[in-house]
Amino acid sequence: MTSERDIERVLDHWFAERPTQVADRVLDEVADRIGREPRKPAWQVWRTRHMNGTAKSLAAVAAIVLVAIVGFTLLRPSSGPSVGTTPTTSPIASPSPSASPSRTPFPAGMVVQQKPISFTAHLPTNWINNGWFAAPTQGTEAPTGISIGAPGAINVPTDPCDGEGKVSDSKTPADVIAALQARPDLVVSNVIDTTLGGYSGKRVDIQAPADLSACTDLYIIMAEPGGAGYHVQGPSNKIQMWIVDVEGQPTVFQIESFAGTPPEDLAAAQQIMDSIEIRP
Amino acid sequence: MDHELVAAAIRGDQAAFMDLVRPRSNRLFAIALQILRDVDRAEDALQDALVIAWRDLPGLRDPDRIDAWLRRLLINVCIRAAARERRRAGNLRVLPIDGPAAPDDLLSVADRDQLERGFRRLPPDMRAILVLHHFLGYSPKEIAETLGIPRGTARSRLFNAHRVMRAALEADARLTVVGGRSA
Repeated sequence: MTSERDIERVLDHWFAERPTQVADRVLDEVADRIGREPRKPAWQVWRTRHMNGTAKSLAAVAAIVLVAIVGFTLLRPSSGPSVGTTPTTSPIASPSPSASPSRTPFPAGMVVQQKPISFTAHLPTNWINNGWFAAPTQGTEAPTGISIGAPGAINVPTDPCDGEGKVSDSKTPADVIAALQARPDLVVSNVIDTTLGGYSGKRVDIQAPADLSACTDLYIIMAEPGGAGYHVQGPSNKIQMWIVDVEGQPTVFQIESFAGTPPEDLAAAQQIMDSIEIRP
Repeated sequence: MDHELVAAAIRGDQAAFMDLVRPRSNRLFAIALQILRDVDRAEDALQDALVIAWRDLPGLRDPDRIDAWLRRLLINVCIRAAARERRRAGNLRVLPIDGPAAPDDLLSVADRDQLERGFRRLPPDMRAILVLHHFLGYSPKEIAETLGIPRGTARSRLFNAHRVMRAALEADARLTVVGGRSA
């Protein structure tokens, strides 16, 4: 596997500057266009920026209100999410039917691949395939992000801030679960048996801490040799994990989301997960 | 000298503006070309960014920040252009920018092809982050300042972009086909 340092070196080399000269006609066209371009006075530029900032603030407030409403709706007792320190219920198997307004089939043709395990999945048209993970256009980060993927790594670091320190030696799905449960910073649900793509394994929900400031860099869940590893995408990141045994190799699939992730995106992610076909 | 050109350009001197941007144009074009991987689109992006720069220059508070400001404008134009490119990728004519591959002790022709494919699959902001980091040598802190995102987000996106590019490099020639379309 190419390490993090190797890929840094490869990309430094690949992006290395080559002599590049812009054609004269490009700047001639700029000179022509600015002669016709109305000029904004300084106060108007400042005002535009100021208004953009205000609009952003209003949007942030609106987002917080939306998150609060969605969070309240999802956290009502009847919705029954299972993440907690007292594992008395099952992991979230899938969003409730009411949270899935559209169950129309996704168009075929999108593929996700991962070496050494390859898998395919059907993605909605507004999801972007990034090779080892896929996400809708709004991205993976808090407060509304979501992604689905297979991080490849299976070993859990003892220290969430150090992907190259002490890590678990996970040889089975149960080993992965035990290492996750041993992490005091993670809230881990109870574990149930499951199957994914025809392979059997374990299903568990994890929640990252609300405060990630313990790590100045990435907050790591799974480590990988030579690199930082798979990390959370923001405070209180929820991770639904399927850890299946693919011909003796524990393989992690996951849906990452937040309390503010729209229910329709969660439903879409579940549909993607259901469509996965594993090709070892 | 640049201060005088900036001041004159702010006052509306078009010749001063062109004198200001002309020596920077090759570097700016190279950035656009790295992100967009297409000469025509990079030229269009550079033109658009410079016209926006002319329009908004009166709002520039610190003439010493002219280079960072121009790069930020250009990168935002490139990100928008790349997003449009993704939406109509089926009709896009894309030219390789590397030219004939020279012998290379680090990267084979196949490696370059895989990297090119991986890079084109990246979301536009991740492309920009890789170019900022590997082409311009920006740290995650500088990337965050340039793109106006939190530092942790810059680190996270850089890491994810590395993962995608690493996967692209490690991918073999196998193409999985689902529903009649290839990956």
